[in-house]
Order: sequence, then structure tokens, then C-alpha cells
Amino acid sequence: MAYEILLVGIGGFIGANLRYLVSGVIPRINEIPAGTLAVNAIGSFVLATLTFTSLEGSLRYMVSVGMLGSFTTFSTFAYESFRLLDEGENKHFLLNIGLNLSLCLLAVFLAHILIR
Amino acid sequence: MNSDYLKNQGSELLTIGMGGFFGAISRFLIAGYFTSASGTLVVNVLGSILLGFLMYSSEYLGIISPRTRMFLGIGFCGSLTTFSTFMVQTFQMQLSEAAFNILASLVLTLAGVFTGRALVIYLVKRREGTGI
Repeated sequence: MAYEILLVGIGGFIGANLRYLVSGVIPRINEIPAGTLAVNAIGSFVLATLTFTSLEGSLRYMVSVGMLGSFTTFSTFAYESFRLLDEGENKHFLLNIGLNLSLCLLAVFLAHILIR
Repeated sequence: MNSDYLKNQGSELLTIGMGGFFGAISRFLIAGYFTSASGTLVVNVLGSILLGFLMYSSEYLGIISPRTRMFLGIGFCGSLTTFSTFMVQTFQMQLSEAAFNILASLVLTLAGVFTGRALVIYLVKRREGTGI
């Protein structure tokens, strides 16, 4: 158990930094926080690929649970969406939620097609 | 690019990384207590409350340093919550269950950010002595 926890933590260390670096180079596009959208879509695709290929063992803890779990984020997505709503940007609020859900589901679906 | 810049950059990445280290482990342990999809929901809501509190504290109260925001906000909360696991789990559900999971996650995490902000507003009012 302690070994698995360490693996998850190391993956989290890497994933959080990758998220910071990738989302940092992508600016807001037309009010939409595209950086968070990009990491969520990329991370969903990679995690789905690994899940559908049934990655097991140490790599699963480090890469799937730790790294990809941390690379994508729900709290920043929720906060940024809440801000849009708070600022009266209702259209962009809905657009941001719609884009995150549809692109990430599409990414998982794409992985599903590619693997099968 | 001088050595000061690199040193500063390096310590930023270390700060975020340590937050990510503890965030991912917390997610693993907390979500492990529940069945898979509800575990993901629990960590996502917890992280949203915490991030809402953190971001609005730094805005209204001004007591959160940029370094703390990096450690707790980008690192810890970012890694405690996850979108990829949420999406893969949703994809593997029946349609009605998937729709419920999406709706519950959206409503409860937004309510989480709102709760974090409400807590900050309460603290601001108490500090100003206007009471509630």
C-alpha cells in the first residue's frame, strides 16, 4: 500500500507540473479558458487509451491514477465556470461547460474506437 | 536567462509538484473509501470548495501569498480533483446513470465554489465587525 501511495504521489508531482506548463501557454480564447479545456481533453484521451488497453501494475498507479488524474482538473474548471457565471457571462458559462463535456467525451470515444 | 530566473522557475515547479504529490495521494485515499464514481464526485466537490475558498480569500482578504496559491490551488486542488477519471467513468455507465453523474458533478462542484466564496464573505464581514 505504501509503495502504491508513493507511486501515485510521484505521478501527481509530474502531472501537476505538466498541467501548469501546458495550460500556461494556452491563452483564453474568446473568454473561454482554453488551457484547462486543453489539458482536460488531452488527459481524458490518454487515460481512456490506457484504461481500454487495461494498463495494470505499478504503471497504472503512477501514470493513470497519479499523473493523468492530476494533469486534468475539475476544481479549476468549476472555478472558472463559476467566475463566468458570476460576471454575467451566461453564454460563455454554458459554452465552457458544453465544450469541456463534449470534447472530453469525444476524446474518450475516440480512444474507444482506436483501441477496439 | 540568468541563474536567478532558473532558480525561481525551479522552485515554482517544486512548489506545484509538492502540491500535486499530496493532492494525488489524497484523491487516491479519499476516493478509495467510496465506490469508484461516487469517490470521484466526493474529491471533485471537496477540491472545488477548497479552491473557491482559496481564490476568493486571496481576492477579498488578501491573506494568500502567490506561493501558497501555487501549492494549494494549482498543485493540491488541481490534483485532488480530476476530469479524466470522471469522463472515463461516465463513458462506461448506462445513459441515464451517465446523465445523472454529469448533472450531479456540475451542480455540486459549482455549489462547492459558491460555498467556498460564501465562507470567505462570512469571514470578511466578521473581520469588519458588521456581523451576520
